[in-house]
Amino acid sequence: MRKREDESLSIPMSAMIDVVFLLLIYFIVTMEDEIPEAHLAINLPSLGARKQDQSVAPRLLEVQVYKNELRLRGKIMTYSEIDSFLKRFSSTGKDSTVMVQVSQRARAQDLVTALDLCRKHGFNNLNVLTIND
Amino acid sequence: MRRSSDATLETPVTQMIDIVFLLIIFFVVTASVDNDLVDNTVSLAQAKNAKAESVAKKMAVTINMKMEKDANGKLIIVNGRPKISYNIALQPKTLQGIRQTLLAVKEETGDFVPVLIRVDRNVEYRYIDELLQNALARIGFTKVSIVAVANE
Repeated sequence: MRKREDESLSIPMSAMIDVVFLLLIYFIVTMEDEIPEAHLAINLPSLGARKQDQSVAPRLLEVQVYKNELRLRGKIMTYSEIDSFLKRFSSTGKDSTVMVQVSQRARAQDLVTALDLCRKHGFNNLNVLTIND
Repeated sequence: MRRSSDATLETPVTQMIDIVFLLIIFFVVTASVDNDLVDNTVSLAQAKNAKAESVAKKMAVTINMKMEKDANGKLIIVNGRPKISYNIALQPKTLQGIRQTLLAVKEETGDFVPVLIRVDRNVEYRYIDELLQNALARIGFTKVSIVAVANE
């Protein structure tokens, strides 16, 4: 009698292993590689913004973004030229306000390239404006 | 002699179950519930120098924006412009729908929540500008983030 009771209490190992393996295979199959994503913060011009009185003029930097083309203060430059300019500019202070003016024909990739370049040199105050071309 | 050889061939079931359970717990913990709500069909722009966000922004509203393609992978053009579609957590939205969602979230939280824009890398800025001006800046959301693929 005692033996019988013990037998009925044993855990059904093989069935449990089956289920556990199924779960494991399910999770391995559904697992996806997560793409690392960066968030490039920008400021948009607000419609009702009032001009603030500023006793000290902010250091302004203007970058223009066109399709497959970047300009700095209106002058066409290569990626590496802007890179080295920003490097020099950032060494004198990173408190500048960057105005990123984007052409309507520029692609999202062009904008991201410009924003990424500014952030690389520590410029985080990025204001995005539209060029009506 | 025969008996002893049988005994050595037994599989150590207890240890195996221990390991298998540990693996399952690992997968359950790392599987993010939000993953299902990310639109993986958006091909993001590349940011060569940016580092990946280590902490996910809580309470952020993510807007996915892409150009619709037909069955052959060609862009769908309507009235001379590509058909742009927007979705929030895979729910299709119009610009007006996005405005309403953001206003509802703002009312609920009492503040301007962070807005993330996951936009296809080939979308022209004029269409992004429509979203930024008509759906975001118009109702006061002036701080947004463009999502890009990070370097690492």
